[in-house]
Amino acid sequence: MIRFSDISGNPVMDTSTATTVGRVEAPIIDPVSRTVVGFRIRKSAGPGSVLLWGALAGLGPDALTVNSAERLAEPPEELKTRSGKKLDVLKRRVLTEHGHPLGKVKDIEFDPADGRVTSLMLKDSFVDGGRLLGIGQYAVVVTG
Amino acid sequence: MSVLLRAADLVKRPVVTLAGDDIAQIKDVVYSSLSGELAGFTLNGRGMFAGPLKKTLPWANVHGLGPAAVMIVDESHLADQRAFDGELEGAGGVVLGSVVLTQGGRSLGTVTDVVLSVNEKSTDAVGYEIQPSDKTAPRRQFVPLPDALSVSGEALILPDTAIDFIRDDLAGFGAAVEEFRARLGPHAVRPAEVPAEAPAEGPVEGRTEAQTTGEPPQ
Repeated sequence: MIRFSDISGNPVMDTSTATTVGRVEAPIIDPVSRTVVGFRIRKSAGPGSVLLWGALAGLGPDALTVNSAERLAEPPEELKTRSGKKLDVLKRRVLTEHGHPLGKVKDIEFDPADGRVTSLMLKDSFVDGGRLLGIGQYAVVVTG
Repeated sequence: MSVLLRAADLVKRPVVTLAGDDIAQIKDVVYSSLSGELAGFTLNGRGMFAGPLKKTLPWANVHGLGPAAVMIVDESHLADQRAFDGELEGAGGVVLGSVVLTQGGRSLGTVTDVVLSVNEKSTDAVGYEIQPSDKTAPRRQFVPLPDALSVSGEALILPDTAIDFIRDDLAGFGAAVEEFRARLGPHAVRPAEVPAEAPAEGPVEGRTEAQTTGEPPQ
């Protein structure tokens, strides 16, 4: 398992030119499949600022690698709002489906093999990734 | 674990979908004009300058009600305004402002709010906040609500034993409601619900207590 805070700000390296083409800014999470579907990249040298999970060449502890800067692209239509800042999961409040507040998301933990979110880490508790129901502009909603 | 809160405390609470979007906030509470039960909510938009919404939220469509938000499944669970035709909003409701009388004919005060018990999974109206008619009593008190009661636009009739369970704050009120309902036993429970609950709640002990502490009519 890997935590987003471990890779936040890490460089994105283009393996064909061995140059830095951007830095990891935020995870993009699909609440339906409960997986990390990509990352938002700042200081992107490519045509867009979204790096989809499928476009990654490697995800290591010190850098993300891609085989071309072209991989940093505009998000596809269905991920356009999902990849925006307004739906970032980090620092967002967490509510149960019955309206009880749990705190704010401090960090997320996910499986580096397939991107599955294994847990949301709050100030002093964990929420299992399988409980994720929705990520909206007001709150992250979990079952329970 | 359950939390007691006044229905008026819900005003301004955000209405959040399970997808996590806040699509409205509670403007006012609507009571059913027939039974005095909570019928639903009228809504305002979110944000400082948002006005009232044309949509309403019927109680049956509330998915969860917690300290931080009123949860609904999605936007399609809001109804239009016509859902509440004939019901009364906020202070104009049948229950609010009604005089609370005991069956013995003693006036306890007027209803100022409805107390809801919010459990992990469900919500129930369990009592009323009243302004006591007795001037020496605290500014507000809470009376428990039996499962079934008679209510009209004029008054609301409670059993005499309710007097023993009046509380001055919400802290001890939850236990008082449970005890009150247990003591009423089979009388308050509708016939269909009797078998499971009635024997366990000790009607023998309850009845003797009720006789010794029962208030004489005034």
